[in-house]
Amino acid sequence: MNFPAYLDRRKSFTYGVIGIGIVLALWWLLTYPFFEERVVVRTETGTVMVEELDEISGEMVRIRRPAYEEVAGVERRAIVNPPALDTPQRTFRDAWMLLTDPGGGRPSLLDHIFWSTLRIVAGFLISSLLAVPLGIAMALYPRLRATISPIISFLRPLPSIAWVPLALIWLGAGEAQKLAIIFMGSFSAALIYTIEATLRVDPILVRAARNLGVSEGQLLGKVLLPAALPSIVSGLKVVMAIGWTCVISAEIVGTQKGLGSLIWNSREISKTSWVLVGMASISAMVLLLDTLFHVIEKKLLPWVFIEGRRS
Amino acid sequence: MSLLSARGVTKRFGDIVALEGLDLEVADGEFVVLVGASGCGKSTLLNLFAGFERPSEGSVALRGENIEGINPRCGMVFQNYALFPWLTVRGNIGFGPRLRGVEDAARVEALIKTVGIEGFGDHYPTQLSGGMKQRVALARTLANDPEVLLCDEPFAALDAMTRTVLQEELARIAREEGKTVLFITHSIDEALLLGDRIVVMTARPGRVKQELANDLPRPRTADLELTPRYLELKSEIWESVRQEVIACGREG
Amino acid sequence: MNRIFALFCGLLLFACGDTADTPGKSDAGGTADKSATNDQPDAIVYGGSAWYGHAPVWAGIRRGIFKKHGFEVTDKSFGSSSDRLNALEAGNATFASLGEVAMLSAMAAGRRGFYWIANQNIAPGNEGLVAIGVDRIEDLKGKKIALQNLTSIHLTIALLLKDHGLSLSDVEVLNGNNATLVEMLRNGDAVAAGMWEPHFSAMRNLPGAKVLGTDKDTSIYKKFQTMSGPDVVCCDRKWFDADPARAKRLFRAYFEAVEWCRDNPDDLIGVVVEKTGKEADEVKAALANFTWLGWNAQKVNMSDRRMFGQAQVAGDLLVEMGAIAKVPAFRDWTQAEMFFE
Repeated sequence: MNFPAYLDRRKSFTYGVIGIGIVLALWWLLTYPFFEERVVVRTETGTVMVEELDEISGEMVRIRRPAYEEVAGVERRAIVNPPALDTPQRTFRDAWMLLTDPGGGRPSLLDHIFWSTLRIVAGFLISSLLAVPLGIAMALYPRLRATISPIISFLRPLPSIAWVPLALIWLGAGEAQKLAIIFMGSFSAALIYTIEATLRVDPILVRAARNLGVSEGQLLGKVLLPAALPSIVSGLKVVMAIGWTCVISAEIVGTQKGLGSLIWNSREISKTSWVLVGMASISAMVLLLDTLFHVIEKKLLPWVFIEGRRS
Repeated sequence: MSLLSARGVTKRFGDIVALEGLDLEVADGEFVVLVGASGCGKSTLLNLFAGFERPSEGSVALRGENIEGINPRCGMVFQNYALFPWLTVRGNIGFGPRLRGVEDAARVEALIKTVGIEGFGDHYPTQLSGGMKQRVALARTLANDPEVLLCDEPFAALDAMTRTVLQEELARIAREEGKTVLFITHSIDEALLLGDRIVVMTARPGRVKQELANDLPRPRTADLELTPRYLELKSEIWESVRQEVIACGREG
Repeated sequence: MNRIFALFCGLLLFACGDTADTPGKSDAGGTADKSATNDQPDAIVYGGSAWYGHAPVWAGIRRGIFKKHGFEVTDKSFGSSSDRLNALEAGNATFASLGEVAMLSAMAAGRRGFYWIANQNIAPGNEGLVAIGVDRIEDLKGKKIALQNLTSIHLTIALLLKDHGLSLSDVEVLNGNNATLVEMLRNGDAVAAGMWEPHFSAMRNLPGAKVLGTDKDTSIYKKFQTMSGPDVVCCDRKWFDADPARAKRLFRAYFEAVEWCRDNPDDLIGVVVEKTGKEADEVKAALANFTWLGWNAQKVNMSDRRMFGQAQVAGDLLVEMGAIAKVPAFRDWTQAEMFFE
């Protein structure tokens, strides 16, 4: 066996498509109503009028006594049935409906995507703009690092949803609250990645730069920052994805627009297909933003992507 | 007055005494090679001259002035190149002048020619072979026009053929530019090829054990290695070093 | 590789083990003549929460009513109505009380795995719309109202707005749940908010708060004397059909508990306080609004005159709100003739 082995782009793509095809085929298979189940179908044929005591009003009233006809019928069942999983046809049809005409004045899928993306990206930017300078400072000054570290250790493991009650009390139910939840979910990760990236700069580069005459003031901008930047940027890519995991906690309260809100509300009306659409949209957006990030990365850090020599 | 001088230098790291009572003088334009067993303090001495460390006792001086900190007049060439990966070859070479605001594109081009990497000016370090990287490192140091070149086993990481080529290049450049060089190596062949004077250091704590003048004719090429004078010098140096290697081994 | 496989098998077995104690399913193929004289009581899971509507089950367990009829009932808490419904369909719960809106939505989505047995209480005035700084419903136009999406309070507010010439699209709806709604009203994110107890009281007690209307003020209440999205009792269809006699026995037990609640209001307070840990005064005030409907009352309750009529109107409202496509034929899910036998 060859290790490591890679496929060229064309083959990778083909296999990838086959993989998705397999999943779709499995989905169709699992939800196709192969089996017939003999059921008793009840339909009301009530025509009997009776007089009964109405306990609420205390009077005798005439009501239609329900009578049912039970007809032996056949129900088609699949291996997996709703609510566990809907058929792919149904799901795609509902997804299309959500995209084009959700009805009842509800926001369309594009509205949901737009609002969630806006919130996540904004929260991410706020997180990064605060975390990167602070992280670099913490990497440079061990006393600062030691002082702030316990606070970060406390904040880091907390899931974003834990912040919902406090964010609501302090910031209300507007966009500020949502941004705060995304911020709290992603800030400590961004900080830690930045600190690590800066600490891991090869000290010999610092030495060489000093030997070439760099002053202490120039050291940060001319050496540390460019040296740490590739790791910081790849850390931030992860932070963006982390931001997306906060989307439901962020939108659980105070909005009707957004993918998190869509997923959460759809379960109340048993619209599993909309839940799936919401999930798929989140995945798609993460992929899209990741690609965008990659493009920016290539522009910003050309030396990371140049193919190196093995020498 | 010597260009570089170390007088009674002792350097301690905690309990370890790396150098003790070391005296060394390097004259202007000299090519001095330090040889010795591993861990005997050669790199430490170089670091003291570069200003990365301060001596625990004694003094190191450049043209009579005490070396008080990192000074670009003592330019260092590192074993693993220490090139800045985010800058191109031109960017790396021009780094020092750029810091002082005296960027000179013509000078960068001239240096590229001097070290022999024409055509690679816009490449990044990851695209270069080891030998080319070291050439760039050399050019980068030279761009600052230092008075001394401090070389810490710069060719140790290269393959034998590249190494030979670069040795000849360095000798040529040092001669052409009139640079003073303090060069560390484990290879006695390298020492004999490059050095005007060869200094053998003792095992830890390091001190100067023996100094030899290298009277082999220049320009020196690989076929010199078969001449009797060469073998004479080599065996003398090796004998001196071997004793220290054994002593080092005993110390553990 | 082998270790990973073993771990996977272990997890699989664990997962199977967990589902193995859903008692309802184990009786699916059981014999038809299980009766109360059977030594082993039937193990039943009830899906509930901390809402007062589940009180009959608390009482039934506490006072041994279920045991008397041969059932061992476990009360399991599920967060939302839709979760309880899913549990019924999956066989993780045998019967449950939940909100009518979730039930109608599930019916509209084609879910057939449950029966709509009854509506066990009328408790109007337990949910309503509270506003701060706004005196009339008409003045809510263009303002923000906080509510819990697609639940009874959503319907109540829609109806109240309708009665005052407004529709849901004339206001901005903010979604929240439970205590977050109180918070949104308190800090001014919304000028009005609606919720059921105990959050309704919390809202009413905020400084400057005014109750603009409750479910008692809606057209549904005026016509059917019940709320816009009352509690409903549903049952796992498979479990029911496997042994209808046993199912009827369960519901006789259940309604005996309901009738006990009706006939012993003071003792009921004690049961609720014990179960929920709330203050006795608070419980007493809340329960004062409850009318419990026993077995016989269901005859009139589960008819066009009351619940079926109400469900049609609520269904129409849900269609208007875009929650469902059309009102389902909910009668096909009912077992109303059970009460006449």
